[in-house]
Amino acid sequence: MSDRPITPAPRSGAPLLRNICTIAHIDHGKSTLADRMLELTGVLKGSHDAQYLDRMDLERERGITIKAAAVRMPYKDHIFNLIDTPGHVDFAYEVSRALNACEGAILLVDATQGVEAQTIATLFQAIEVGLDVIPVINKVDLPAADPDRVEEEIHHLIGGNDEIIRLSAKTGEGVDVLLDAIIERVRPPEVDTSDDAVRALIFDSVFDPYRGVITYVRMMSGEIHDRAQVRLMSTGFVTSIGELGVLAPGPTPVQRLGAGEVGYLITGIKEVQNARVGDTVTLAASPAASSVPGFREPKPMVWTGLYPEEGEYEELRDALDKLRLNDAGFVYEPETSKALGFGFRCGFLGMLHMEIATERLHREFNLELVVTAPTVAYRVVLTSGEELIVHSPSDLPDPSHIEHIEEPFVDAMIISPAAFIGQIMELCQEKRGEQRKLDYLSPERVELTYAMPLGEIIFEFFDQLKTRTRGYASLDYDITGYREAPMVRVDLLVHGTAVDAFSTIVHRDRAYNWGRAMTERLKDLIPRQQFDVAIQAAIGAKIIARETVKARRKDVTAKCYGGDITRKRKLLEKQKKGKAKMRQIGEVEVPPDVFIRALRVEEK
Amino acid sequence: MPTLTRLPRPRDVLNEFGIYVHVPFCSHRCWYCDFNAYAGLDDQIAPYMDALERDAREAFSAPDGAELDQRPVVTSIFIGGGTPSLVPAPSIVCVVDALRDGWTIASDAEITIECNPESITAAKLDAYLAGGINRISFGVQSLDNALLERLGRIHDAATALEALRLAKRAGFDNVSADLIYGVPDETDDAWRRSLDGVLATGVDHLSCYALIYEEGTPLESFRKLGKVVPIPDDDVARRWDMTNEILGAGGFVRYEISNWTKPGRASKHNSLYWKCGEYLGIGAGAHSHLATRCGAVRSWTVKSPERYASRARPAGSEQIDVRTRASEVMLLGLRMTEGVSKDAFARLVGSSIEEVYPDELEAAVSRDLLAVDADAVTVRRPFLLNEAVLPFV
Repeated sequence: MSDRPITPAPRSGAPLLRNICTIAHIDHGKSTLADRMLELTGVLKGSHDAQYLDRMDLERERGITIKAAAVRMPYKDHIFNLIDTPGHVDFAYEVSRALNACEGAILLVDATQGVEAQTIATLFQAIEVGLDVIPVINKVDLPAADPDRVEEEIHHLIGGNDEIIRLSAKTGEGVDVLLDAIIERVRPPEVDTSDDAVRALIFDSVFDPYRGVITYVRMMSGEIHDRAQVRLMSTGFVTSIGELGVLAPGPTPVQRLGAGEVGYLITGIKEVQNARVGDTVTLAASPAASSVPGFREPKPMVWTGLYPEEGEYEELRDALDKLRLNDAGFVYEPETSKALGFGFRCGFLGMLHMEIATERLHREFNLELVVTAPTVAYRVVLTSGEELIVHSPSDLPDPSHIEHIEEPFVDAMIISPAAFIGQIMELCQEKRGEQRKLDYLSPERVELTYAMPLGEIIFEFFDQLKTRTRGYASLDYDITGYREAPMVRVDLLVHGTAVDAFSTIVHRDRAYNWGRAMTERLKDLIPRQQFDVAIQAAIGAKIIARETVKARRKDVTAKCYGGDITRKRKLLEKQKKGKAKMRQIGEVEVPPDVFIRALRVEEK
Repeated sequence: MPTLTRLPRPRDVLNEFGIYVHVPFCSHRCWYCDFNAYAGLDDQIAPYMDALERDAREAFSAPDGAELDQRPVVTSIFIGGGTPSLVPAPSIVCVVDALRDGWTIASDAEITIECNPESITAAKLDAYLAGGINRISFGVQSLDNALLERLGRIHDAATALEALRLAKRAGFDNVSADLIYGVPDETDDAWRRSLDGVLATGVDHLSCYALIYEEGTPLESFRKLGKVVPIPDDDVARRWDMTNEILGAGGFVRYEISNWTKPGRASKHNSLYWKCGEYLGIGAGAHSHLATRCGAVRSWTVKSPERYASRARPAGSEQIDVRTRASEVMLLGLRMTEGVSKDAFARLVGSSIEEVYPDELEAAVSRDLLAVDADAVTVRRPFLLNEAVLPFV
């Protein structure tokens, strides 16, 4: 706990409050700016970890913020609450809740890079919510800075009326101008005064191993006191507040939080699922009539199978339990694969979310995992009229029972130097994209929007985009709905045995290429056996690709060992040990890493 | 597996006993060779041969516990190397004479010497014959000069053919040649020519080995450096098929994976290894397999010729229990065309093969790896022997 005396909270609806967030692309300097603001307002003094708002090591390493936080700072008789927003598309819903907790937004753009796709997506959300936007160009101290060009891009996006602040978060130059602008250009919190009912919007929820779930709220109306009995409006869950506080910047208990204020609650809640972002906290004794609009259950859109190395099933389950404590967007259920054994089907908000979660399992829990090919959640309409959401190829019903299949579609926004426009259009067409918009932000930079299947986005799209644009393009996407598509399940058969880990749901036009690529890859990975091994890709009973691993004709060392039988036996013992590690696909013996290597896309 | 109070003694079961004599000297080491052989140690030959002579009488290479108080009748002697033909013939004959002093040698014993073509002369051959050596095995390896060079051999094809003819002319009626197939750049035709050329000299026996890239050999270093690219396994397998065909047409039968013979000329000494028989190995880096009071022991002597010459005791040994015995009977016996005789298995192990390996046999038969009939277990596809024997390891 901080022992620094804190500025007393202003009265409810006080005109001296400013709740703001920052909209920025990765590496555009959001965290550095926050640090500088904390310093200039006297909240932090020199010796501290850089980038205070990024809590997790992983975030710091990747230079991204995956969980929002809020910090309070006093400035010229005012109190600012700086609410941090996640920087990635997978957390778009969390971003929207964070935006709802604010009245103002700093639009932060790197003077050397310009506007990026994610920035635009979030900016449009902020404008929709009605936030007062302060455009800021950062890194003007760098030699490569081109603030005039960037200013042109910003004006192209939001019109030419707003004054754009140029600053350097690194040196601090211009940051005071921004602080003053926050007071002048961002309106104070609007408080619903229609009743006194407490309505606190949860915009973040974090699991702390020592304190349980810490819930970050924006008071939309009413006043809340510590020790109050509260109710979560979406679930009806009732609990009492153990601690009420603000981040100044460390957790600092307060007695009460009034309308317009931002702070945290610590209750008896042990899992973040019970205090979900977007939910409304009210008083149990005198509940509000209606919750803050816009609550949504997080919907996992990308699914994959996670399988442990042999014997680590229990460890994986414990790790997934712990991960879920801290991640409301993550779901999992047990799954069994003939090829991979016992594991879990896991759902994520998107690709980055999946990558972060699997990386955490590896790093924090020291687990070696097999990750099967990701798939999206398909909507399957049966001939009976029944509707299913299918997120695992093995759950896809028999084709004769399927009326049609719908796949999730997104609007993908790509911003890139104009020089790469051809490559990007080619890639998007390969990925079944339909162009929606082509807009020049400036003569050098272009914004492209494509309607595209999410299933294509999660499969090598981002890597390809980066490769084809030499890393310059940025991507954002927004799930827009479902569209009917001729999706088929392709199975891989090894010597007649279907290998479930390799089954996939794919567009009919892609099935052949996919089947050929996988059979070729497996041909190189499966060792020769005593017999010819057919590797086939099939849609139902129809074989669409085939490779053969020819039978081995020789395995013996036809050599003279003289009388040294011991050596010969030791060699065979070693071979036998190696053989014991092999896994079986029907009669075919394969090394245990075949599955991992076949599924690892980059080995192609 | 039932345990016995005493593991049967192979010498009692097979009525055979062998002695191996190792001569580790060479004038040049071939690129592929990983045997205990040395070039440039000519000054050590004399003291070494003296030690061998004493060992032949005293059997100091035998490990502790080996049952040699009553010496069994010796049915085969094999003088191998290295290059035994490199050392003076009289010192070889002295060792054989010393063996006769120390042991009872059966009248029909097979006594083999390994020779290299470039170091053989008519005088040497006469001396060997006079000393009682009745079988001669030449390291020919190939009759293609380019391939010989590739293997690091120092003789050419003409020298090899001449040596084989010389041995026949000297009166050897049991002449064998070693050949190596699967050498990089070797063609089917080159291999056929080697086989045909050797057959034309009237040899009685052929050992044809597939080239192996052994760890620590120059050949393996060349491979790692990419200077030598091994030929595909399928080509090696085809050469083996060719060998069976060509030698079969020449009146030879294959009695082991790498060994073909005219009727009645199978190597007794090598067969003894595959039948899990007993033998004493004398010399540097020589291996023995000998019965002990209640079991058996496999042992080996020091590799250094110099240390051996100072009569160092065996360098290491491994006790053989009933489980290992059973395993060895299988993995050695299945190399032979006749396979593992059920009767011999029962007598060497103390229980029947069906009792010891019921599941393993059934599985291997169902996978068409082994065939089991009333008398023997044989391998169905000899070139996939490893797969067949692994369950028994």
